[in-house]
Amino acid sequence: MSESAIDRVARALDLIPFIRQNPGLSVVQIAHRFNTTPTQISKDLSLLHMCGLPGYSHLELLDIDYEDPNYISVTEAQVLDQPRSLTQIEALTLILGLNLLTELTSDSDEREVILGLQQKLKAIYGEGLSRSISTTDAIIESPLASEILSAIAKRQFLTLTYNSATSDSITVREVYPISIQYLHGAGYLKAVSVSQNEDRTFRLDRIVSIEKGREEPNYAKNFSFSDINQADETVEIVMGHDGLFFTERHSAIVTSFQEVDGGLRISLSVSAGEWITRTLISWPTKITVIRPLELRQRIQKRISGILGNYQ
Amino acid sequence: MSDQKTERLINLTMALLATKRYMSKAEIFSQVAGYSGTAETKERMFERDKEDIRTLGISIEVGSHDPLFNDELGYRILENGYELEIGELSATQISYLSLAATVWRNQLFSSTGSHALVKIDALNGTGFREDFGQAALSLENETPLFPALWDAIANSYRISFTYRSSTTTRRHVLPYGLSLWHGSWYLVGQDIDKKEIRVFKVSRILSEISVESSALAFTVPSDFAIQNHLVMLAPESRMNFVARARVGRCQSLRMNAQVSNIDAEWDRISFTLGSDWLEQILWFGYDLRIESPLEKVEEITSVLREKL
Repeated sequence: MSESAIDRVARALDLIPFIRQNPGLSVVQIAHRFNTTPTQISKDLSLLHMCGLPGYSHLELLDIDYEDPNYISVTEAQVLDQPRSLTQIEALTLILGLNLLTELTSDSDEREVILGLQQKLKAIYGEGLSRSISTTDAIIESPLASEILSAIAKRQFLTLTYNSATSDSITVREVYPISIQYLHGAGYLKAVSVSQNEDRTFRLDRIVSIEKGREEPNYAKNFSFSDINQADETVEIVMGHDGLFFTERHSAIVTSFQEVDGGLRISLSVSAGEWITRTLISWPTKITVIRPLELRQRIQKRISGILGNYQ
Repeated sequence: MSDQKTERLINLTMALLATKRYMSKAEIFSQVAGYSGTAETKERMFERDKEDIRTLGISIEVGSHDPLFNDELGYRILENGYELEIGELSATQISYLSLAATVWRNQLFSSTGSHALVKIDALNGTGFREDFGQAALSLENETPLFPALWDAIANSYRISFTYRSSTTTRRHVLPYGLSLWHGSWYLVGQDIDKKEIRVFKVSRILSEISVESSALAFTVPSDFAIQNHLVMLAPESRMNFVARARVGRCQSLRMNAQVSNIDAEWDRISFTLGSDWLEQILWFGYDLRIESPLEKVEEITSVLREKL
């Protein structure tokens, strides 16, 4: 193991107050919380057992009960009964995380609790932090996010009214919500669509409204989630130097890109359907589709159609 | 690394925390377990141990009991710098903190977040938390350069990096701050060559961050406030459009539009759009035909001819 003595000391100092406040956890559970192996935790505990205060008699040593790996406790923590202070970056992680939560909630009481916590952390970890870090609009705000999150916690069905960008239509469907994920600032709900019995992803800012339904804790227990969309194929395009912005925006589907004369040649892994058609048409500069041919023809036909509208 | 060293560092930290008075080096060598060998060896060990403990973010206070004889220096660790002092927290507050610590799905913040959570759970125990849907919420935002940039800001290092904008150039910057906006990080700093404060999108930095100075190479101007430099936060001006939209189509435009029916095929809608108006309009293809403003109609048709 390539762990330094310092990392190990840090964990050791954090283990004692943690176990003291959470007695009865197993070595495996503790290892999970400290992102390490049970073997490592066992080694740490037997090492800590030898440590203590000057004098080092049984009165001054740390007293840890670890004979039963399923029940660990600390009976004497000496001076290590309190957790260590947060490092600046740990505090920052919490401040940023709280910030995300304020943008998720529309409830003013909730907001107040969260803002209070942020103030508390900022007061401890320095004014400098707030002067040099901005998290305004860290994510694209979605007023329904906190409601959906609470439905997930209660394991509740939802009826979604959804505005699909791809098909340009509004549909109503019953779903069982699983998680909310933010990707490049935009929030997505992962859910099981009840009528199709398949998992689907919905962009939060396209959910028009929700209605909460019955609670059912075990609905998705045995559901097998599909991997990435299997309908994906390779789409190849050539565009100008603004292609760099295209690859930035659509990084999730870009598999490779290379400079060619006057611009970029980009490979995408995506279903060559309606979404990519609209995406390529709406990009404000010229994009040439190398393959598939059908996509190229479909786009040309549509662009002519739009121009026809204006004649 | 040896168990001995780990053990000695823990013993030293505990001894310095426990002592009410400064412990002299002689006291440390005779009382703290693990110091052995010649005077010189012990001296070297202690110097390294002090550095290691400071690396952990624990500050060792150096001082003397006797102001008149301060040649005999002693060492101690003050509890109030060492311990997490965040005051009383309610169950609700702890639940929010845990949620805030666990939302991250990037390598850096998911690890600092889980460290922070271990400490918070050492205040009151895990049983104290309410279920707020942990693990149901996540923020994906990979930021490999964040630690280097944060370090440069915290220590006021002058830095340089290769940056891609319309051309790719080496930029020399005094880093002032970082902003997370719509899921991406932006660095705000004084561009030394351009002699003004600039905003850099971190994902467009193509190189490692090179540190070009020792610490405290500059001071951030006292009137600097990061928000004032974030152009993306400025309210965007919006334009009015009037258009024909096919009945039942252009759903997201209709949400904030005035709509009146023309015939079985078309509605007339009026709406406003920001700087991305062209993309927004083209998304709806031939289901949307802009009527005014006329100069935008011109622009749309010329872009489309270009794209053919």
